[in-house]
Amino acid sequence: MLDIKNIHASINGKEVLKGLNLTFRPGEVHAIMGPNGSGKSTLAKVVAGHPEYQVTEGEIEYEVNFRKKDLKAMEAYERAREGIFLAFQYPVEVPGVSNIHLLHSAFNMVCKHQGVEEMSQGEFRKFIEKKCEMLELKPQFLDRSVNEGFSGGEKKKNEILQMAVLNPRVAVLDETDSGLDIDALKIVAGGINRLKNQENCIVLITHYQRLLQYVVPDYVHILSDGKIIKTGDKALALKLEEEGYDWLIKS
Amino acid sequence: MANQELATTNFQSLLETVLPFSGKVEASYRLNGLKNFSFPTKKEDDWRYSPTKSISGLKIESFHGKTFEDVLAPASTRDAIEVVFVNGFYSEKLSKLKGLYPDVRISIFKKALEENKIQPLEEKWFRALNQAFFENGVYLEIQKEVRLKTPIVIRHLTNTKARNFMASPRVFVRVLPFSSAEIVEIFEDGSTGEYFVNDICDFEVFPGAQIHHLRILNSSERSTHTGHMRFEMYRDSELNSCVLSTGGALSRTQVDVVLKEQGAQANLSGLNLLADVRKTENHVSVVHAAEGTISRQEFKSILTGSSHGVFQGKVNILPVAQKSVSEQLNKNLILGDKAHVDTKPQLDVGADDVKATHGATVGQLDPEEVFYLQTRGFSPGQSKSLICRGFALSILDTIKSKWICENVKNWLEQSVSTYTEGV
Repeated sequence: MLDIKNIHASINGKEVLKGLNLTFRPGEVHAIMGPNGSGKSTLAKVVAGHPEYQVTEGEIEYEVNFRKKDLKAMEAYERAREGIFLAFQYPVEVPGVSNIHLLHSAFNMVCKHQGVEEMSQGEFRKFIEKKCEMLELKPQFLDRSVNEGFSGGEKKKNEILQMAVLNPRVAVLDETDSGLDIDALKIVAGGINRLKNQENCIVLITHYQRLLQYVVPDYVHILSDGKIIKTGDKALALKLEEEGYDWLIKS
Repeated sequence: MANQELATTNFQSLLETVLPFSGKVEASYRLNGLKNFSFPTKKEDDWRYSPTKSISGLKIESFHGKTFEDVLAPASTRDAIEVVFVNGFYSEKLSKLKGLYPDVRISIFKKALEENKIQPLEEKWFRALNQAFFENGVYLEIQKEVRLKTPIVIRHLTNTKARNFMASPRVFVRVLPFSSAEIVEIFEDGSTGEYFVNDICDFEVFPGAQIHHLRILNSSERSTHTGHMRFEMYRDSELNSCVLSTGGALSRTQVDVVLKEQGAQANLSGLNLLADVRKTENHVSVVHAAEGTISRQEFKSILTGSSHGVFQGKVNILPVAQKSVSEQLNKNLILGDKAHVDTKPQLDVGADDVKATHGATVGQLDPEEVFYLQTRGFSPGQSKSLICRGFALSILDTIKSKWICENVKNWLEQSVSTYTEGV
């Protein structure tokens, strides 16, 4: 459903992605691993449509209901409404905007765009409180300002809550495991597993193997210097954990 | 020096030449009271960023609007006592005083002055100007140990036909020991013409008393307003005050707080939503004059177009005011290419055992915040509105009175929506 072909992307004139190829199909879980500075977060931002990243070469083809779309031609919000989701490594604070207001507005916007019936405030509250239970978040959490004063764990859980609300087709989770203690990691992983289905594709960008113990990937890709240098299954992640990246990069 | 004389002369001659209501003799008599004060100039710290010339150049033909006939029927607030002023005159007829007695005593300010209940304080030119020209005014006294259940709304109206007048509303509120009250002042105009409001609203908050105060300045773009509030806070008294303004040709508010006795506390906040060429100034002065006093300030502005915001906040912690706490924050969100802000937090600490912080931020929208919201499906325009809405509505967190918060929320949400449409 998402076909990334020979993507070159730069920020402030510096090329970060240098001919990257990846294909994501429905029902799959992908893990993208790689050393610091290899281009993992850039890939996430390019897929989501960050305006500061320039795609200088290559294609990103997005297929929905047998219709192909050129993702590059769409703005970030259009991609979001079409089912592309990015969970941020560092979720941004939006002071004064309550979490439930953001979630409800976003939900209705996506519903409207996709031709699905919108939800009233009351209905939405019930719907979202169930999702909160899944992530062991108290209902009061919904009335706080978006990410303001949240703990690291709460911020990451909130990203998954937003994912649950937006119900994306392609979800790119950028280092969602970083900064989580083991309990929070298990809860977040549980949430991701619940949201995983045959219609969507989950892309886990991570530096470590530990999240992959709980959310088992079908494919593990190694990104280095802006390119995928190796693809394997979950065993590859384990090998990386033990031996580091050196053996791959040197060879 | 020449400029100062010119400004004073201009303003006074304008007042003297056209005074159809009270006549020249009375005008001169009133103006005598101003002789001991000099018209402010840009050399003075408080007026550095202010357009003094635009005030001295105002065309003023009377002390008030000529007719009261076409005053818009005051929009009354449910469950509230209403004290109504029209063009600066207190109107008992339009006021709704039911529920006032016996917890609150109300009388004409002028009478209270004559009975020596109040000592007027005119240390500055504009306060002296009000003292010279106010007509009746209102004196309110919240009785001892009263928890006032019904809030008081002081509504300042202008009639639609009046032009080129000067209104000088005057209010004094005395809150006796261990009582509490909610007071909302609303300045709205029917007039779209040029006019000048120079008001004073002073508070004396006695030991253990608590006051929740809100001032809404919702005036036309051609109005000029200089407002003065002074809060004298006695032992363990508490003030929560917020000023919301949409600006005007000039909307200048001076808030002076004196924390006179131990344990007195003042929480001050403000929000300005400025568009086009509107201008708002918040001048705040807090004096910590006793041990263990607390002051908190949070003032915010959003500016579009070519609007201009000024914040000058002075905190003075006197040597006696050990163990005092003072926080001050001014945040500005600039959205207009030509909009600008002058901000000057000032802290003068004479005691050594205090906690004092101050800071100011002036910035544009954070692109990462906009991108974050876009990835949640909000268009660039929607994202910006949402951020502004959040920035503005968080001022509600500073309002501790449930009644005030609930009643102002709709107005504020509506104002913010209208305001952010053009963002």
